[in-house]
Amino acid sequence: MRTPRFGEGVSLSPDEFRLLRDLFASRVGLQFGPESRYALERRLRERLMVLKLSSFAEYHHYLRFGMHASDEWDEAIDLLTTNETYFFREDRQLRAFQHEILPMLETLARPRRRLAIWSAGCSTGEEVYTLAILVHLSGLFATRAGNPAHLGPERPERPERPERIEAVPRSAPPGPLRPPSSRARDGAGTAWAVRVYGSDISRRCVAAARRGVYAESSFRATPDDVRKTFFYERADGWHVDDAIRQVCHFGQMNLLDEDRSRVLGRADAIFCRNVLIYFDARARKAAIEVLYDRLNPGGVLFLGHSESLLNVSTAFELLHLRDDLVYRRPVSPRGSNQDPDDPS
Amino acid sequence: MTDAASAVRWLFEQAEPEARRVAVHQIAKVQGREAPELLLRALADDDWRVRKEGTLVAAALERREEVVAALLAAMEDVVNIGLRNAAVEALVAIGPDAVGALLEGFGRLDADARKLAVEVLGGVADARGTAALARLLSDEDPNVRVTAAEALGNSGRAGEESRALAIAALLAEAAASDPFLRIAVFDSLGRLDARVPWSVFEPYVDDPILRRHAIAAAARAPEPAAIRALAGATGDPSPTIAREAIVALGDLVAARTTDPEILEWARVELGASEIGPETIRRAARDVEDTRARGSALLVLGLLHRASDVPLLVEALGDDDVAERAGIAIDRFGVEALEPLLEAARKSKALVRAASLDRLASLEGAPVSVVRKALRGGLVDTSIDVVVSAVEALGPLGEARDLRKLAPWVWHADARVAAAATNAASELAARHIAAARAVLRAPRPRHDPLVLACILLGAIASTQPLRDDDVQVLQRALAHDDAHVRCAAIDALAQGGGDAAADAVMFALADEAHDVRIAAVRALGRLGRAEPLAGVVGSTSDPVVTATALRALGEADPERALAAARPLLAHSDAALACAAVEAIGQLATRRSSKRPPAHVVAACEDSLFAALDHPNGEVVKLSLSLVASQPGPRALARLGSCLDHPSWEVRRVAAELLGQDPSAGARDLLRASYERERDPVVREAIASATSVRPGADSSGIERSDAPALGSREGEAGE
Repeated sequence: MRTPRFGEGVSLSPDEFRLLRDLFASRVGLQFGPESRYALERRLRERLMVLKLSSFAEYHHYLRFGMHASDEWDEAIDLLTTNETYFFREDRQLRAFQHEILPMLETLARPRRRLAIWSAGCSTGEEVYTLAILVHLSGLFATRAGNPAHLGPERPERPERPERIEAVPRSAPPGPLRPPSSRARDGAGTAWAVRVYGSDISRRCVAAARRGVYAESSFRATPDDVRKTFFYERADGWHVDDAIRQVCHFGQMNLLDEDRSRVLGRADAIFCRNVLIYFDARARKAAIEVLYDRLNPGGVLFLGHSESLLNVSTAFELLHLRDDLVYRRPVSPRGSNQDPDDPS
Repeated sequence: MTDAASAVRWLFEQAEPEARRVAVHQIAKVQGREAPELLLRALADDDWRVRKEGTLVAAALERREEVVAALLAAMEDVVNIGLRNAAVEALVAIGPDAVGALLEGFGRLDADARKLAVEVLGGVADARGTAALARLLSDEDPNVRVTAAEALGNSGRAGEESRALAIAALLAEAAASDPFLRIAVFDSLGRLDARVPWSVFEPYVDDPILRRHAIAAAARAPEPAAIRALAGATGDPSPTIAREAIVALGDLVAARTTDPEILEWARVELGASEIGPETIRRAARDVEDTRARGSALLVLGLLHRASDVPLLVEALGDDDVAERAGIAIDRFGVEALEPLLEAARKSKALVRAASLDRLASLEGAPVSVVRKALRGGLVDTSIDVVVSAVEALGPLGEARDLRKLAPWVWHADARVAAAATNAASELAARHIAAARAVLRAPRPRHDPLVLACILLGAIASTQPLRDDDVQVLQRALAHDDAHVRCAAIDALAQGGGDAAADAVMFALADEAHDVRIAAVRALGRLGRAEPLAGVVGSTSDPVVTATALRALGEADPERALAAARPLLAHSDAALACAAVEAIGQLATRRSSKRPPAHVVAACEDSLFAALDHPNGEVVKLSLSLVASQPGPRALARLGSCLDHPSWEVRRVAAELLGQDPSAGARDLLRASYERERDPVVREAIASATSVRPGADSSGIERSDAPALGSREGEAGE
């Protein structure tokens, strides 16, 4: 009797594809059309081999009912999600955020001196660090430890970097960003608590984001001066400056998990770009409801340019900016003094 | 005025659109004649969100006749365009109930209103509407005629008769003098997937406006002249036309895989073109346009030029087009050897891995050459490549490969370890002397028992084990590492025998879950039904239950059915699903392992019973298995699931019925479309009624598909 080779010659039948399709849609909102059957088979077959399963029907059962299903879900999601991104993606929208939204949020959040931004579906973290850099560049939110840096003649001199790239231990970075100029609106000594959260359903992506080390391909849209100011190069790639890193926090999260999302508290701005396009209508609606609940009154939601809330939700109001369009949670009748961490 | 109506009216007075939108929701609570009036007020609102909400609510209101009458009157409003458009949408949402009243009042409508009425008829899947639209192709107003032609393109959803009627009506206008009408006719014929002789479209191949439609239609008219036009159009200066031609040719190649004459026509015509192949190659490299890229790859396979193989091989690294790239490469056979070897050395990781996979199964390739490439893959920097190489060396490797791969069963990467386990097992079964030599080799850094179990298991599958081999396995069975115990159980199952079965049986009480699962699996292979039936009866772990039922099915199908049946109605959906899967496996086994006929019949009955389970997941699982059994009983049960409370069940039922070409299935789908409210399910039903019998989801036609000219009522008969 020949030893069976798990995964050998196993194909994904249309019925099995339907079962897996529905399971991925209901649990994590991922949508697969009939044209994805071959790709799904190719990517998941190795899991049958590792788990010693003989069919995709068994795999479906394992995902649904298995003792170690949660670990296997992480593996499957890592295999099924594509995570291509880079810094300063969709520049026009980011300019609107920096020049129009941040001043608006500064006014709104001034009484509590706390700014929270959430990048929902952050992939490998580029968007999170981008947003943190923009907050810094705005000069509006002086933080306790790091302080806003400005490009231009007023920028303090940075310590000279060595000509050659050397393998300097990470515990000895080139140096923090320098203290603020007098342009900070709130005056000396009154600091803001700035937090930029990044979440993704892929464990692998979150780990990469937390590492904060990037290859050249992540900088295709990054101005050179920004790269030189906020990153430093080492043998293994470009590292994010510590002053930026320390305001960024990462976690693994399923956007459809309403309970889990509450750990974030409320945000003043949420970026959920090019994520919802992968969801079916039901999942999209559920995700939007989570995002609405996680916004402070007056907070804004940025979606990808090909996305909109049409036919999904009318709870948001549209905010027309000079360069873009965003959705805003209406300001509460009680005004912006409502405690943003109030989960109600 | 009722309280509910007062509340709605008050909300409608508010300046905030959201308040007015909320008011629309409340209209459903309003009784009496006020509801239609309030609906119209919503549809006439300035804010699009309020109007949109109104269209969604319209179908839910009672007093439907009054609602329809009000909406029809609104369609005649000459001032408020928003209201008219919203009324159209609302009537479509109401569906067939609107069609009768619409047709009755048609005569009094002016041209603008008739045009809107035509949009309603086009949005509702109804045979009466199709018949009316066919007549409206002769309307006195040109806009109405064009809109009717566009609307007829949706007639497939109303069933085969409607589709045929629409095609006949459209064909009669194919030579119309009005170019806009001709455009609408051609476009609709395409959407209806009508197979029409090329002579209908040929006059328009050089028409600047209609050329695109003619080229798209050529794929459905596989005649030499049509193929020639397609091939020529691949070199068209217009990128849109060229793309259309490439996609059409790709569809032709995909659909005609069993028709060598058609394919040969296509190949000859393409070969005669100078510009076309270059355009096709560009499309095959365009990663932004997956549809065109996949088609281009298929066409390059048909063209059969050796210089294109590297391009095809590179596409193996892209999941979106890999399948088509593989089909194209298969056409080259051993001619693809050198490009695959090159890509396996030099290309990006995913392509290297895919190339090794292809090489391992390439007919006619010298084994020594392939082995060399696979061995090269073992030292690749990419784990994907290493896994591919290891997997392939299982069936192709030699004794020396066993010595190389054996230590990798301890590899830090679980995929490599799993692949190495499989490969080592296969190699050991073929090279026993080498396996024994590996067993004797010292392994200071690793516990040797895991490898010993794998190799001894493989040896046991070909010859009896020695006494000292058995002692090794017994030692492994008592190991404190669960991984080792699992390996020992797998090995004992290969050898068989009472002693092995006794040893494995005790492992059913192991504290480690994975070991219990391995024991259950092993007992199945050893044919021990009694303990397996005991496991099913004593555990509530769904994975153990599922594994035990599957294993019991191998050992004793009748006992498996007896053990599974009581679980079909279990309140724990996990256990019920396990039972459905196990019974389904028994019922669908291939002939060599098929249980007795009475067992198969009992399995089928059980699956029907499982359709009554309250949990939708159990029902979905059963549906797929029931659908594979032809006959009126299965059809009736599938049809009843179109009314299931769970939208997921209804969707699956629609998809399964869509694969049934019978008139009964079409009728069931059509009837359910009229009453279905969930948009996802409606889309599934619409898609199911549009799927041509004989085509699967990849567009590859099965060989029993009806050929050109065989449909009743179509041109060419």
